[in-house]
Amino acid sequence: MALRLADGLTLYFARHGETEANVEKRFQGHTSDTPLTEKGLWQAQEIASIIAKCVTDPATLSYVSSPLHRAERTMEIVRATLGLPADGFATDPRLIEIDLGAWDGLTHAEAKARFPEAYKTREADKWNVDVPGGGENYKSVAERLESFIGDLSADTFAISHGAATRILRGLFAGMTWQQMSALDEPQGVVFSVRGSVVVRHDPA
Amino acid sequence: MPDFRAFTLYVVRHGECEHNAAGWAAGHDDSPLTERGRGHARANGRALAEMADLAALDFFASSLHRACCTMELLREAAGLPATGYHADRRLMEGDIGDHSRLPATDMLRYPNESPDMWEYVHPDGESVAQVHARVGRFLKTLKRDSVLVSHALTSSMIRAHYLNLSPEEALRYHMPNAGLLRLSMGTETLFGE
Repeated sequence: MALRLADGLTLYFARHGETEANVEKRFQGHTSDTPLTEKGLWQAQEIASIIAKCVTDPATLSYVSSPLHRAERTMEIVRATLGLPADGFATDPRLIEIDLGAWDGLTHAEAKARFPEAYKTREADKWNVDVPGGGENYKSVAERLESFIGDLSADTFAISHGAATRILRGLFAGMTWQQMSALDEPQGVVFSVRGSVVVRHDPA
Repeated sequence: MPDFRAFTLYVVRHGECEHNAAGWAAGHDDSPLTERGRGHARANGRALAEMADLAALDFFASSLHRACCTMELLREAAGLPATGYHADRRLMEGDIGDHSRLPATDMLRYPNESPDMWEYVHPDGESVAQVHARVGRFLKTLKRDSVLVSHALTSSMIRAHYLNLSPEEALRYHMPNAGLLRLSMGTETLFGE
């Protein structure tokens, strides 16, 4: 059964702008938070320009971010670019990135080399198998995102993360975990949701 | 067999035809594109050439005249030969049988006779559920990113399969004659509104 947003509501969401770890293609979960790059700062402004086009009065939206620095920094720039006080947003731990446990900060190749068995087991079932060292599985991320969606009662703009937004899009589209795993993780674009239909908005 | 939801689909409705301009429901009752409709097709061809790698795409049209004509104008405007696409009957518009050439707005009335808009079968025609099923069978045959030129109901059914929509949500959509709907990575984007 696909996830559905309550009738009449619109949710806008985006991934944070590009970080240094993204450039180095390293797993970035809860502990290896790195600064936004120049490109990442610019992507945050692009996100603001898309919101300004989609929403007549951006001041009427609720703004909520993952509590990780890269997401909050993106949110501050989005709000400042929209002419709103940079710090006037809430944070919600349910929007945080998947916990990548012992793999945080590693490249895929490094994780595979250091944890060959765990890497293989997880590849076979990302929905149920936790990342080793206290990490999460997709199911746990899906449950907290569904809880976040279920609690929404106003039009909202949210900033989250690569894996978390893939899983969220997959939940709305009723996808399998394999399909969620194969989705892209674009930065500097906005997704909007009404009902269970997710629309992608690119910068002009 | 890869799932078609792994591919990007560019969904186009035929340009405005004479029945559309007259406000008639068409179904399988074909009519030529209007000059305005030929413009819709060409605009979609130019938009497609800008956003996609044409050499990596397969091209499919409904086998109705107005869809094939739209496909050929679209391909020429994109810089491709007019031919070089497949026509497929499973992309034809829903068959509304005896209700062809009635005012398009009347179509909303008939399902009220039987309250189920999804299962209602037009006299000598099809139900939405049947169109949904044949479009689903077609989508399973796709092998890579594709351009699909079809019709209002057919486009809604392609979208419903791709986005995994309930019947109620699927029927809420109306595909315009102008504009190109990109279905990619579980999301949709309408270009050229």
